[in-house]
Amino acid sequence: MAISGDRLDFSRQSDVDLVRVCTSGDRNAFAGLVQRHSGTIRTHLRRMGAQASDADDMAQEAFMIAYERLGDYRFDGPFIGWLKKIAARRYLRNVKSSHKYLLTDDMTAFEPEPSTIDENFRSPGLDAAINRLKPVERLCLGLSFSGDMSHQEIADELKMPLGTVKSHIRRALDQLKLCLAPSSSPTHAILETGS
Amino acid sequence: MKDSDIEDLFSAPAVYDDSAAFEQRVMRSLKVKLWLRQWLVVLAGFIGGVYALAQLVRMPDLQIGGKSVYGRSLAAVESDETWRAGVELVDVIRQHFMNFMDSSAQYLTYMQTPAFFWVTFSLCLAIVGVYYAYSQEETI
Repeated sequence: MAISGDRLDFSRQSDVDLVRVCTSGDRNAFAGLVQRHSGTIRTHLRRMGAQASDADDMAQEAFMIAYERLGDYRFDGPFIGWLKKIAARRYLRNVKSSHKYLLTDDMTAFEPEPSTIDENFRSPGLDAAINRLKPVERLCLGLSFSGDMSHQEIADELKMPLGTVKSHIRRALDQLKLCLAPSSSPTHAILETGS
Repeated sequence: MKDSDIEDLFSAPAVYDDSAAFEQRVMRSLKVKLWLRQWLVVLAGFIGGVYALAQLVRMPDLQIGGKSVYGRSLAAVESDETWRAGVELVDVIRQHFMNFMDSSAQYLTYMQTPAFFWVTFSLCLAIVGVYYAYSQEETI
């Protein structure tokens, strides 16, 4: 590894290399994994519905859990996928314990508060559109598209029927397409939500 | 727009202005957590060592702080008031120290009873159980 500025440069090493170095006792290699994947994990949590500060706290916890569980990583998939699952489970535990109402399948129109829009999002179009989804739709979509989980895995995690998960994702996708279409207006999109 | 287009939008890389600060925060928390765990183990080892020592060291008929070893206090025979006050102060400190040692000896005796052993053993088992349950909850 090389030193770039005051940070170590791990760009020449793959995730697998870094994990192997890390499990052999070099904690600096884990800094490389954090450096490489922190943005993705923070965005993943935000897209599932976590607020910015909570998302960062949960991302931090996810990395710490990952460090302690590196021995459990089987190298049978990308490291980021494993990391995303840890973060998703951490978020789901938080939702189930203190924000269970987010999982209710409320069919009334949903309009988020303006303050919940996070200015740190890198894809304003997509993230503004995601922000207009109902929490449960957003969660299912985030787990599916950002977390790379299958519909069955999502149904198992959320303890929901598979059909319900599929329809949440379908509705969320329709809503996103509507919002992201070149001629769409946000007001129209809100009126369409949950109808 | 297709589903795959949205999927592509999701997979776009995300860069944060404070990513260096976030990395430092994670590594600092990790360091603190590992340090605390390490010292918890050291502390547990120390307490365990003291407990083991308490089991080994037996002091039958140990009497500390009982009757004064002196037949009568120096203060009682000394005429100089300042000297007497000083001696009395030392005597009071000695008494308190002896009382403290006496109570420590009582604690030591209590620590050697089977009841104390089972209480501490159960407590340790409960802690290990909770720790195990917590670690299972975090299992990936």
